[in-house]
Amino acid sequence: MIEFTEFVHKGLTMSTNLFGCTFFVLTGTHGAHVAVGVLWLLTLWVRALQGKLGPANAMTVEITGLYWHFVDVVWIIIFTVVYLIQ
Amino acid sequence: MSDEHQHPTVDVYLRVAAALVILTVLEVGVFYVPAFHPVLVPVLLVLSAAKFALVVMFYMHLKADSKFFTFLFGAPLLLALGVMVALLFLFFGALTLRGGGAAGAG
Repeated sequence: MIEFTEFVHKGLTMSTNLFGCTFFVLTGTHGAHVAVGVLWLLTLWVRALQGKLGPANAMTVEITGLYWHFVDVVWIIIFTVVYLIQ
Repeated sequence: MSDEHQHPTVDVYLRVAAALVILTVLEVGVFYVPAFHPVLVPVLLVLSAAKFALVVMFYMHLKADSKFFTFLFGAPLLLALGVMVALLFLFFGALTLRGGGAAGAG
C-alpha cells in the first residue's frame, strides 16, 4: 500500500500507461489473494488454539497450504518479472 | 491413513526454506552486480524457476504425490508458457511491422 501511494503521488496510476495498468492490476490482485490467505491461515490458527483442528480436519489444512503456496509461487514470478527484470 | 503420501520431515522443509532465502539473496545480488547485466534476464529466470520448482515440489507436495498431479499442474503451465511466448512474438512482430511501416512512409 505504501508503494501504491508513492507511485500515485509520483503520477503513476492505472490509467497513466500500459505499465501502470499492468502493475496495479497484477500486484493489487496478488495483494488481495495474500490478504485472503492471511485471514484463512489466522482462522485455522485460532481454531487450532481452540482445539478444534484435529486429524479429521487434515484436508482443510492441506487445501489451505496448497492455496497459500500457490500464492507463493505467483509471487516468485511477480517479484522477478516486475521488480528485478528491467 | 493408508492412502496418504509420505510427507517430508520438518528438517526438509527448513532446508528448502533456507535454499529459497539463498536463491532470493542471489537474485537481488545479481541485480546489483554490473558484470551480470548482460545476462541478467536469463540468470533471474533460471533462479526464479529453481525457486518455483522447490516450492511446487516440496511445499505443494508434488514430489511425493502421484505423477498424475504433476501432469495436471505441469501441462497447463507449459500451455500458458507457450501462449505467453507466442504473444510476445506477436507483440514484437506487430511492433516491427509498425516500425517498418512508419519508416517506409517516412
